[in-house]
Amino acid sequence: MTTATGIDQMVQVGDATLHLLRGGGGRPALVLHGIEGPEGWLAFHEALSRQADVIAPSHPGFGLSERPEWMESIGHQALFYEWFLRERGIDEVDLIGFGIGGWIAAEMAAMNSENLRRLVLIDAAGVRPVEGETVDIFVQPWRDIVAACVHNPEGAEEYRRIYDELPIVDFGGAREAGRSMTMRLCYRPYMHNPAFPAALGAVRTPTLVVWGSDDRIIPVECGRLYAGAIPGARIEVIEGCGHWPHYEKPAELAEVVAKFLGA
Amino acid sequence: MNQTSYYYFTEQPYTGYDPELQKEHPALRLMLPNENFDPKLGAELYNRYHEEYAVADDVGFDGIMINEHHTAPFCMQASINITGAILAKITQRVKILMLGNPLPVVDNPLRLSEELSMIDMISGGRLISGFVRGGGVENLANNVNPVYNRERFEEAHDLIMAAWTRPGPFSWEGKHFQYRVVNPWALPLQKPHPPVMVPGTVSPETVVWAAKHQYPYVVLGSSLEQTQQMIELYRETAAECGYVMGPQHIGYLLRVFVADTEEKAQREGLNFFWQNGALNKQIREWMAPPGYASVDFSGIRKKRAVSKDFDSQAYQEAQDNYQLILGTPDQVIEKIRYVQDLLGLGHLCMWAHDGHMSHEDTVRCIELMGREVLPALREG
Repeated sequence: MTTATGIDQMVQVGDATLHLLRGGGGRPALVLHGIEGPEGWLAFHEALSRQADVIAPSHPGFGLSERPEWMESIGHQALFYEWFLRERGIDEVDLIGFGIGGWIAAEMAAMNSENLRRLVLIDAAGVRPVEGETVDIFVQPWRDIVAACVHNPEGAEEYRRIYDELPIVDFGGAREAGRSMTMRLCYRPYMHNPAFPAALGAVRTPTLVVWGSDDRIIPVECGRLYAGAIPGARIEVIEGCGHWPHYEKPAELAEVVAKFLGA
Repeated sequence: MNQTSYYYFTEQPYTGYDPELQKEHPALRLMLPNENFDPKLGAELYNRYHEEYAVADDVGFDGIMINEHHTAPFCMQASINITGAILAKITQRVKILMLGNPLPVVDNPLRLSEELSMIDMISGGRLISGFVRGGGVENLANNVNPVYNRERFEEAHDLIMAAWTRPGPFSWEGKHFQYRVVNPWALPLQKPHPPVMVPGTVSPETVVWAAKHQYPYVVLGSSLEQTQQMIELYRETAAECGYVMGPQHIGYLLRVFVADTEEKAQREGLNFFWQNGALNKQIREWMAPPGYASVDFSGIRKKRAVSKDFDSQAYQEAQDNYQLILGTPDQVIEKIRYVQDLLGLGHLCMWAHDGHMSHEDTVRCIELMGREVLPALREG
């Protein structure tokens, strides 16, 4: 029931071709990446695949998934992934999202909770903080933003592996499309849906919110707003961790998530 | 007699900030705290620059070129239309050359069409309405998504043209702009509409777009070699569209300062470097935010590397390359002629003031140009 690495697939959804990695076995778990974009089969995917059929797509507009002409917003992404689940006949799915992937997941759950089993939102965008501020990732050098996404880079092996293997470049490169797509999706209003948190009251999926204690991009306050707005949700804070728990504490994160999903 | 039109230009710089600020803010843009801006000095400078425009009108320039930038001490014109409206009243003869309204950052192009129509009417039909995409940082300063820069540029242009030329009322349902009713009661005096020009630096897409619309393309001070490449692209596009490119389609912005003595001109010319290369010190995220351009950035970077940016040239090097022309009237005439003939220009914008040049020196420069340089160029 286990595989060592995810298998590459190209899947047709309407007029779009979605690139995804799939590995493991068991209940399907759709894992949605954040602004960092797809960076291959991650330690977190591997750990989760021991108990789940992990499906890790590149959002349309990121990596090898081309943007369909009509796709302009996070709401469109949510619509697209609902379409994907329907098209592939994937039901009773666990939905796990990081950053803007968490925002996409929350939109999906608010629109239609029927095909979702569990929802996990990790340092998710989508809610505007009341007290703090979400860092503006569009007016600072990208390498500074990436550096700010981890609390302690020394201990973050996965983070170092990713950016050592493919160092950040100023212009172009494999990550350029994703950066442009993030700009398209999240520029204005910045990183939130004005209907949130109020509209999150529609969610009927059991939800866990996970946040790095030292998230310097989206304040942990937003995690509490999510947990307070989604009926029955609770928040779990990972200590000594920044905005990217999957890069900084993948094993600990996988354990928290696996426990919630019910091993 | 050559038919070239000559325009006076200044960025209208705000010179009152402490140069030490550049240590912490190398680009002197976007995040430069505005507590360093003193409106009292701003008031003096605006009015001083307007007086200099009036001199340029008096001494025989064909036009005055104006522009717009945001959160930028190198240029105080936060609204090109305000300067344009002032020129409509304080000048009598010159064309008002806007290079240009940054269309992508405009949220209401219909109102823009009305403002331009007012300026055209008030000036007695002297408006040349340039449209510009604007650098990426202008999008950030106005909170307009850089991804839509080109789409918004093209749609705003189409809408303004429709507002100027199509009888109203009609409705507009575009991707970026929607109007129940387009029916402006402010229409341009010039028919079918004011002339349009398009300025630019290195974007081939913009050259092609301008050529397809038969709009003159004005190269903003790029190297002569790079400018020639852009002109060649214009020529090819024109041929594909079935017309022959002429001098009237090509403009160039050239830094020129004239004084009574060579020594004086050389000393004042240093003001063109007054910001110590700030323009080139913008981070990539400001200059070209992700999604801002559909062309391959590395390609543009390579091109820029081939021909050095103005600010990275040595003082003498910039003069040797005809990027900066300084001297007495006699000294500059031949050099300007060389640039004009080499590029085949129908429009030559003279960037004749910058930095800390005094009002007196600026006025003297404008007078020498108008009375000695321009007549000689026109004869030649």
